[in-house]
Amino acid sequence: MRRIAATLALIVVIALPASAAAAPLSATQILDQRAKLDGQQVALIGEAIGDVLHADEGDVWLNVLSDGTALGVYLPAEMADAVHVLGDYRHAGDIVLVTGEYRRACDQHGGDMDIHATALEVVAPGSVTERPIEFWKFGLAGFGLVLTGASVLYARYKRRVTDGA
Amino acid sequence: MWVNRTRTDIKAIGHYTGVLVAGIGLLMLLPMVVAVFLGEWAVTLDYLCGVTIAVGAGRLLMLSAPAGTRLSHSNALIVTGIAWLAASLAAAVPLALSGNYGSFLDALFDALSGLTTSGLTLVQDLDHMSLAHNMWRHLTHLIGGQGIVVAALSFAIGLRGGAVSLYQAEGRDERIMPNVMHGARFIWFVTAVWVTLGTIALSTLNIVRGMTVVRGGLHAFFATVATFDTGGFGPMSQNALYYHSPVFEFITLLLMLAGTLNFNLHADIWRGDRGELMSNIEARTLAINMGLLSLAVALGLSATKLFGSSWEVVRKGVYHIVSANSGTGHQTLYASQWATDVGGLAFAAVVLAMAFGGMASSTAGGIKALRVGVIVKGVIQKVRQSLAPPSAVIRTKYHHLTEQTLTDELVSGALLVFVLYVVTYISGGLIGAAYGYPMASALFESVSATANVGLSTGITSPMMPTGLKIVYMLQMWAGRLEFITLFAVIASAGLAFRNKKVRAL
Repeated sequence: MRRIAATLALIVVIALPASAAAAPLSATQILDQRAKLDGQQVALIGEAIGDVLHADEGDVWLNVLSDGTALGVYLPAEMADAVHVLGDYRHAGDIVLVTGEYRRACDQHGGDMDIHATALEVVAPGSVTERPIEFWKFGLAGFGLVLTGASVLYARYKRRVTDGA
Repeated sequence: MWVNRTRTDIKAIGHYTGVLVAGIGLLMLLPMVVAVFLGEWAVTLDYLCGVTIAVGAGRLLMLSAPAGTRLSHSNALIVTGIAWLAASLAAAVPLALSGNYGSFLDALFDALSGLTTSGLTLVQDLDHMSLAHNMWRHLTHLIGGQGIVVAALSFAIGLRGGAVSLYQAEGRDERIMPNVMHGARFIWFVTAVWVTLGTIALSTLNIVRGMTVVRGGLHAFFATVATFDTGGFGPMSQNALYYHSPVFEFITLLLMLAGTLNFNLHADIWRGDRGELMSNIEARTLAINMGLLSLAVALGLSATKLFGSSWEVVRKGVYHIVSANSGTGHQTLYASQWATDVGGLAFAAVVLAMAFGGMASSTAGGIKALRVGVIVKGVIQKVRQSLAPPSAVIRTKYHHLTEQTLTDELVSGALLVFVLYVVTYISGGLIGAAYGYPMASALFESVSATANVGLSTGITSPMMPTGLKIVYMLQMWAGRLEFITLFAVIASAGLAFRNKKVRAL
């Protein structure tokens, strides 16, 4: 439920009309307009995923996913402290709105594409993702077990018959 | 003369295919243990299904002939050809159950891509995939990279009567050790050493950078296996770019180079004979190839003026050329950047690097440096012959493990495989173009699939046409088997079909 709410929040924020400078974009939209946006201030909205990775003294990397594309965000460590839930198998991560300079090939980071953040805001908190067991799969596993058992038993029977002969 | 398979042949083929499928099923116990350890219960059930179905189907096939049945060389070729497909079908079961694939075909695509160490993927929402499923995806690189038969031999799972034939049919005609079992174990020994070293180095890096011990260790293992086995899968959708680290790139660069080395060269280095590395035609060809193509890609990237410093150009250029040449497919660029951002020269250099490939008897794909070296030597010999007096006898020697004399048979054999690769590269490109993709991108993707690389311009995605998915699967399969084994399978199937038709008349 919370994941659906977070996704809806993301859709609403992207769809909202806003001034050109502040209009939040998804990572895919930024990637698609990379030549035009290079060196510009952008607002990226998406789910914080994976890990907060230490970069250098006082700075970290955060990867933000939206529309199926993830983009690296370089930001001060204290700014990243606002992120509490990172997306993975068990979690839908915080939805964050990152403002900063988009670099198509960042000179500071070996030509990688990134955003140097100047502000980060958590738009919607992350949540635990329920992964319920699908009981029909027990039937499939049972079928496999029967198949294995039957073939092992038949092999034994055949060997006994051959040995007997 | 075409040799028809007898009923006994077909039973033997069925039996050994069953052994390999059951072996794949048993290997699924590893991700199952990881799922239990991490408390991923829904995933545990996926692997319970995978293990039981694969072992059950394998055991059923094994009933077709008694254990220890003799396997001729030609039948072993067919088993090897079928085994990659049968193993992929089995390996796809838990992936299809993961919920990260749009269809069983997509899961099968990834299983085949993993086993052939290609690295092209149709996975969806990879960033939320469970660690146990990622473990299986990466283990397919490890199993396929070392060779399915080598994997089965190493764990001694019932290949008694067909061990030698299967080992040779898998394309390992160069014996590393006098005994095939020792050879198979040596391959695993080398792999274990590199995987351990890589995992320790990358785990340390990940943990220092803030990842938890479990996550950092698993990511390190995934990256090491995907790199040393020249596969290219990653646990995150950004692939190598996720880590934003020059140290990560440096470590994986070393692993890619180690992965593309012929296992015989690993054996020589292990025995202390480092001179072989300097004099070997394969090593020299690959070094020249990588050097020239790195220069080309650097010039190409410089021309785009996208990158601000020569350091950036070298970092991006060398990483992608080694990734392409070794057949790994790790990338620190977004797929869509290949077609628009890197420029024509760099794009062409990467396509050539993928097409040439790494060394024979390694986990790399492509035409292979040995064949390229032999063809170049053959051309030089022809030029020398044309310039020499008619009575002169021109002999060309080259060094590959031992001193060898270049023969017409060797050159024509290398040329045959070269031509087959080139025809497949172009055919796949034309099919991609027929589906409406730009020719250059379609050719890039086709070369990447056939040479088992995994770099992508973005064509390979869950949304691509089903027909193209099947074409790329066939290309990955053909490329991994270097064509002849696949042709043997097709010819045998064709003969069986023709005979059935004749009998029906």
